[in-house]
Amino acid sequence: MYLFLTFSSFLYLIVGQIIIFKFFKLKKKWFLITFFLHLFISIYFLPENFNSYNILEYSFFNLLILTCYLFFLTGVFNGSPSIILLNNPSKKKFIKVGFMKHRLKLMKKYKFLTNSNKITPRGKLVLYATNLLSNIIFKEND
Amino acid sequence: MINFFIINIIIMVLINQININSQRKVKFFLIVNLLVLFFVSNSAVQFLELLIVLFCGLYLFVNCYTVRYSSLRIKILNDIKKKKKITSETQLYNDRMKRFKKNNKSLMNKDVFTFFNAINNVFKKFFI
Repeated sequence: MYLFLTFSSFLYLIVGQIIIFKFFKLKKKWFLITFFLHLFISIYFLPENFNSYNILEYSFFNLLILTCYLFFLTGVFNGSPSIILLNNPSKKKFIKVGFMKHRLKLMKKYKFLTNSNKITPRGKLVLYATNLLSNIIFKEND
Repeated sequence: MINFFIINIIIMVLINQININSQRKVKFFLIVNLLVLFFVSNSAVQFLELLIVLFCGLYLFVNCYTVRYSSLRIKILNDIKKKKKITSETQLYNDRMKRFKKNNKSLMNKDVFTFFNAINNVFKKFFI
């Protein structure tokens, strides 16, 4: 029931993203652009005959796929050390990218760390939540 | 659909308590949920919808795992918490190289990254 509708809304989203990112070069706010563009598309193409239950299921289905898609896009836009290494195993080039340096800078910018590299309450909360979620949902037993 | 997702979460939480490695957990999760899927779906379209829900759910659960064991931000926070020196670029390089060794039986192995790299490259071509 929702399959075709969701498939077409994601197709519109990808076409919209190509226009916005590739031609208008608006890549900095990719997360917000993707989220709001999808929100607009899914509301605009919402069939009039949908009752409240249909709307709830349709929103859930779209939100679930959108969340996964946004997680995936993080790797596309921010880059991943493993993927960089897979494409180019040169140690010199890998070190030159400076992943740790870049993340450390971002963590200070978003107040996970203080300037003297101490963990802020926000950083503690993130670390606690990550471990808790992994312990409940998916952890390594080795 | 929402009920099926809740079933997925419950099954994943239960499988997570079993003392097996991450790859086996994923296989178990897929086998059990595909069986549930065959029983609950009434049509081919519903089957496909629920299959998407199943794989999206799995992707989110795997993300809980990868954030804990692979995220650089979490690595930095753990280093500081344990009062260790923050991982250097060279240590990170060596750590990531270890993943690509053939004897790596964790979820984050070379095959998984090769698969994601292929899709990643397609999106990079279109967006960047």
